[in-house]
Amino acid sequence: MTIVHDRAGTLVRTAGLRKSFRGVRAVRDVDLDLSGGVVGLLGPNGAGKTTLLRMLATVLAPDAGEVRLLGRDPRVPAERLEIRRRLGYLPQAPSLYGGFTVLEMVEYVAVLKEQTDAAARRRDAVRVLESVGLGDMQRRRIRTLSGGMRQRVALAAALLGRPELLVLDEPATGLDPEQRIELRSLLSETAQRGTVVLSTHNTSEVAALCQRVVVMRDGRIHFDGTPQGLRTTAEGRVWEAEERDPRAARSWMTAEGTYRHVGTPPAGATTVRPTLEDGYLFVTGGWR
Amino acid sequence: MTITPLAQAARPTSRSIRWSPLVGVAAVLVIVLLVARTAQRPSDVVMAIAAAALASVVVASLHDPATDLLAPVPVSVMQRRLLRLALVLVPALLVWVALVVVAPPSLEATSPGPLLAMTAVGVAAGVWSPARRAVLVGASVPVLWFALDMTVPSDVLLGDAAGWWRTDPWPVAAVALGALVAGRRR
Repeated sequence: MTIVHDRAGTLVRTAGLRKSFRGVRAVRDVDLDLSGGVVGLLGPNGAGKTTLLRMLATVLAPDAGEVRLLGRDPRVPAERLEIRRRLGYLPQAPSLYGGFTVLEMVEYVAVLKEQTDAAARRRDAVRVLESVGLGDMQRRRIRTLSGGMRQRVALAAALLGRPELLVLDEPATGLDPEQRIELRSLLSETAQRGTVVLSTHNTSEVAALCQRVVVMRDGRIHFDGTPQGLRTTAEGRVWEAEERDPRAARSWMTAEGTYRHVGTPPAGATTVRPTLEDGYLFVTGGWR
Repeated sequence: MTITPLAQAARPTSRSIRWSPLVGVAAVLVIVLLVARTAQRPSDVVMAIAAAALASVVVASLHDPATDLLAPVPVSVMQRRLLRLALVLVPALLVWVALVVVAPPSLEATSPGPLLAMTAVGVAAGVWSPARRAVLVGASVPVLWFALDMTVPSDVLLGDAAGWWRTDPWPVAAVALGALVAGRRR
């Protein structure tokens, strides 16, 4: 399978992307150039992450702006079809058919992904189920699965056909810590041959998995860079003290019983090395 | 071309459809018609109810719980909906034939035209509705139109139009199909 790159090896490119719902602007003037690896989309609820991901998955058409995916224009039906043949998508809280077995569900998606050779389709379905740790659950009915297992079935469906672009909306929801580690490994492998774009609320997920992080708030991109870069935005802006400092923009009690603060440190405060979460809070707090 | 995937998807798609509404509606209608036949009562109104109810059930079958997961697959949502429609419309027509068979011999309205007209109207209404409410609106329209037909006197302005789906089903179906085609890209 040939990966079609846009200018300068870009697999995903958006320019001036906008989308509104009933007058509420969900995505505003988003410019992105993604050329491979795992990209994490961070942001508070309502930041526009899901809307952006749905546009990248060709599910939603933008009101304005340009999108090019895998070098093609999704507004053109023939090109959209080509994109969809090379795309995997995991929506937020996907619903499945309760009466299907795990294997039947994944094979059904494979049929709709135009895998017409029954033997090859079965092999691919078994491969993706094994890759998400459901190899021994193929005969289980969907309705008997836990939420985390259903999430993995949907993830397996997204991985069918070895997609070059994988768009995942909160893929770690419902997964236990061990499954999260397996997910990281799986997505890192997938990113070797394409681009994985995922949304998450979990900064440790981003730190462990993503080469690039995009922070959104109010439909706009407020940070686009490396996880290390996001961390350093809060350099010199984080301090700890025995008492809560009312001048801090954000304060919370740590497990050690001290207060951690983000904002403009008072004179004499001893700043500490910021974490990725500090950087995220700093950026989404609008102090940058 | 997606004919082969669609053909291969027919069996699992039929398994993903909830058949209990069609079976339930068919059973109730058969019982009502058998009672009407035994009591030698006219059954044209029952057949009108049957057309609207079956059309509503057929349109409701377009609801696909896995829509979000399947949204970006190469086989488009329109193709998948047409497949679901075909899979449910055929048994609905068989139910119609069964109803005609069990209905009293005095029955005049034996043509499936009203059923097909109401189905086309429901699907067209769904196509022109917001995506999230498409199936709900589409399935409601046949029932609402039937209720309008039964309640609006024919001597008021446009009162006759409420009964067109029974008296002139094929032009109604043709107009609905036109609306369906015009809105297929929505």
